[in-house]
Amino acid sequence: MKETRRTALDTEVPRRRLLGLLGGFLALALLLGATAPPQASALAKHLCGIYGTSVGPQESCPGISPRHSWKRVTGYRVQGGIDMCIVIRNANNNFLFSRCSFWATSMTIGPADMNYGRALTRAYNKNNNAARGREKRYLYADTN
Amino acid sequence: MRSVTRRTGLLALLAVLVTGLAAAVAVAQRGPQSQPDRAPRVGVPGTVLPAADASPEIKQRFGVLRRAARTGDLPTDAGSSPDVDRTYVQASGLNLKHGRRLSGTKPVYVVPGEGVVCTLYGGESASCTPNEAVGQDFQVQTCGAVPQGVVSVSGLVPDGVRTALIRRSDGGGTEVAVQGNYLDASVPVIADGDIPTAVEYGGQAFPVPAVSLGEMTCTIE
Repeated sequence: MKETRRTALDTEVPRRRLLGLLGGFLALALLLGATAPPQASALAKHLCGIYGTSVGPQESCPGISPRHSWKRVTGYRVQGGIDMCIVIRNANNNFLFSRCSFWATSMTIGPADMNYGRALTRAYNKNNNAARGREKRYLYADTN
Repeated sequence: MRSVTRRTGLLALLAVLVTGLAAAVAVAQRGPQSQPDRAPRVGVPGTVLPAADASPEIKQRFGVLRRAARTGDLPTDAGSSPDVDRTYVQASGLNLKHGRRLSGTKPVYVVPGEGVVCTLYGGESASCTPNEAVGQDFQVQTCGAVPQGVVSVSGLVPDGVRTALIRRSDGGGTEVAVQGNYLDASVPVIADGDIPTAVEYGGQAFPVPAVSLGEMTCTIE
């Protein structure tokens, strides 16, 4: 009967590889952390645009937010003159309300209008809210 | 054997590091969409602007911002709680001390900010309009605080305007009274032709964002 015996060297090889991989992932995480927008963590959710960045020309805010107990929704843009509509739907995607303005550079919908976050809601910019030219716009929602 | 293993481990580490660096560079260079915009701008959460007063030009046009403060002018006086979001106040340079309650039964306030004039609804929800567009920016809201089948049209109008016309999509119009510097009208919308398209006063028409009939029927939570 042939006896197989594991040497210290055999266990050392996978351990070193594992350490190498671990170090690599750590370095990756550090690099990604260093390049991320520093303020991004201050808000619960960016629905459109990334904090401090712009939505490109003709790019609309993508999609609708996930269902959440949103308590406050804020829309922002640099320039006025094109309609900005924030639309709120309930968890079943039924229309709750909308607020729109041609010129407002920012609109925020507060807790009272959001039923203090008691219900699950979804928020989005209306589909025709494409950025025009160099216009920049963002949409945020939070649960605070 | 030992040196081969060490070399393999180092190569694995190097490969992961290179991949990580490439991924990080890719994330940082996703084109103009993700290029950080360093300039401080009004309204961006996270920006802190000093509290501002209304410009002389704005005060000249809107008497509500010229009059002396009185009880009930500040959103906090109305007992609205919680107050308007601190983040939003700071980001817009809002000066709540210079806020004035607008005429009417609803707790609506006008508050100057950094290059903007903001309207606060109940002390929480708000919208800020750049100085150059104040007087021609009208908010339209459907449902929520507005009854089903009705569009709320509201906004600031300058001194001297007593009435305004809400123009409908069928070409007709409804004349509404202005209280102080504030227009707040509820327009019934049953058919496509009833949808408000503009607010007119002083011989000028100021378009309002289009809403659809689908936004007239709302779910009550």
